Amino acid sequence: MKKTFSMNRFGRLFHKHTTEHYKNYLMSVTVLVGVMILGGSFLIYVAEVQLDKNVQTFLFFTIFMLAGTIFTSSVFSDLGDRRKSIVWLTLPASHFEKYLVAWIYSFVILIIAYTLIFYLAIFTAIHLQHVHGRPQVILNVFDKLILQMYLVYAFLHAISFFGAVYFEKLHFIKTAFTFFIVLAILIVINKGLLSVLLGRTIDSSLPFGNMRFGNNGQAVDIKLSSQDSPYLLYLMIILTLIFWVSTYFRIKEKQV
Amino acid sequence: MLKIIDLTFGYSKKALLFKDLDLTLEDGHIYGLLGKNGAGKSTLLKNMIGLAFPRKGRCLLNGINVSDRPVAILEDIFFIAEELFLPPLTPVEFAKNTSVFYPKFDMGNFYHTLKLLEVDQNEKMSTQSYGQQKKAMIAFGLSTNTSLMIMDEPTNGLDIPSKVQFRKLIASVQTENRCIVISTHQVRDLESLIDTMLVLHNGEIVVNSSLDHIGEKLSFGIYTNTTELSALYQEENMRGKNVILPNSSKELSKVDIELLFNGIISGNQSLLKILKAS
Repeated sequence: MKKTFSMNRFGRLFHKHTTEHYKNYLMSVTVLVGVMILGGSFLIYVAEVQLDKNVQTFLFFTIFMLAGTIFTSSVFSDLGDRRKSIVWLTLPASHFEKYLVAWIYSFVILIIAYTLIFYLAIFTAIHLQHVHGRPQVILNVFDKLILQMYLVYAFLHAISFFGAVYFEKLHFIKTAFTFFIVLAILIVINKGLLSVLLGRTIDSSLPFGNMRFGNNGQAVDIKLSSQDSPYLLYLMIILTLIFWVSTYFRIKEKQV
Repeated sequence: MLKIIDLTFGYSKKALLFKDLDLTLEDGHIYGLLGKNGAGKSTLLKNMIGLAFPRKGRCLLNGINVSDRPVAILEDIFFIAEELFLPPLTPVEFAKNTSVFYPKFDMGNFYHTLKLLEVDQNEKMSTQSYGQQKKAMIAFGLSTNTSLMIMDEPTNGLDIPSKVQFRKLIASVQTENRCIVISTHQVRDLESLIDTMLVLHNGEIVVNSSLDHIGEKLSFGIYTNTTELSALYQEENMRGKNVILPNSSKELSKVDIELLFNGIISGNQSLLKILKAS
């Protein structure tokens, strides 16, 4: 077990990683705060958007997914540089410990930091709007919807995490490109299969989701029942785990 | 100590760099790995430390496969690559963060070596010159006290006084429990440093001999006229001809590494035949 994980060694690795990267991470946090403050100010003063719960949820989700996947895509950027990858791979720590440091930073720490920064920005924005006489409610981080967003982030994180090791350069662009291409292929195959199965033309459909087709000039929507809905959730959890595990093995197989 | 068994490696299946290569490196030696540019020296070194995986065969350090990169192996190997990456930390900060991963690290020796090589301890390594960076890493590597130390072109970027210091340092840290492999195409830099010569040529280790063994078998000298000599290989220079002859006397000849290397890569089979004969 100690060969794969030693708490002492992991602590040293975490400390080394933090010491060598904290300036970049602080800069990233500053950029995120800047984006939120500028974006928030724009929404309040220029677009005059009411920061209600729906807007907050939209902002929380959009910035979270974008910032999280961009950061995660860069977490193994050292492996794309020959000189850095030699240092990284020959450092006396196990592959699992190196993997775990990157996972903790890009998943656990990122979620905590993002949530805190978002709340800070939202509190500030609410305060500003309150001055103008518009009372506001604040998004509850423990809402079911927000908890589901964390799950969606876990799924996108796992994909970005794998892309960060798989690709050597332009990790985010290449991962996003591959993701959308695969998604498009899945949608086309799914639509074709459904057409064959039902013997009619399908107007729109999503894999593991709802579908629509025309019947006597009427649009018919078939939606998943509440009993079927968890399948999408299970699929996401399984895929997330597969990508996380694949990333570990990809690191083990990494050569210079 | 390090055993390479049946190593077959190539970046593509069609163009193999090594095929069924065998090599054993023992503790207590300083090996000089020589080869032309593109011979595969760096690739062989990467196979030795688990940064490249053989298509066939194994590299074992003390019986453990290096391709798995287990911590026990990584703690006992230090590799100084030709191209370095150093974080924006001073040598002291870097050592504080990284030495903790090497159980036999000697901090006192690190400071001493930095001083000897005239490396600024308080300047960020990322802003130092290439030569200074290299010296800082050499100081760090020597202080790790790993059983296997591998250096790829370590003298590139070093000025002449630093090269002299480097040679002295390597000689001073060598112990019977340590194996040092130095790869270079600057053959002169290895003189009076290595005790065993490895020559990688056409995907094979064509020479793996101690300098003493070479000096017993061959004799090296400068002659103005070689017509009556049974020269195995010769090169003209300003003073006459640099010649390699079979050593018929009992006296040990000082090996001219560069001349021998040139002779070998020119495809001189007589030289190889004499060296291979026990």
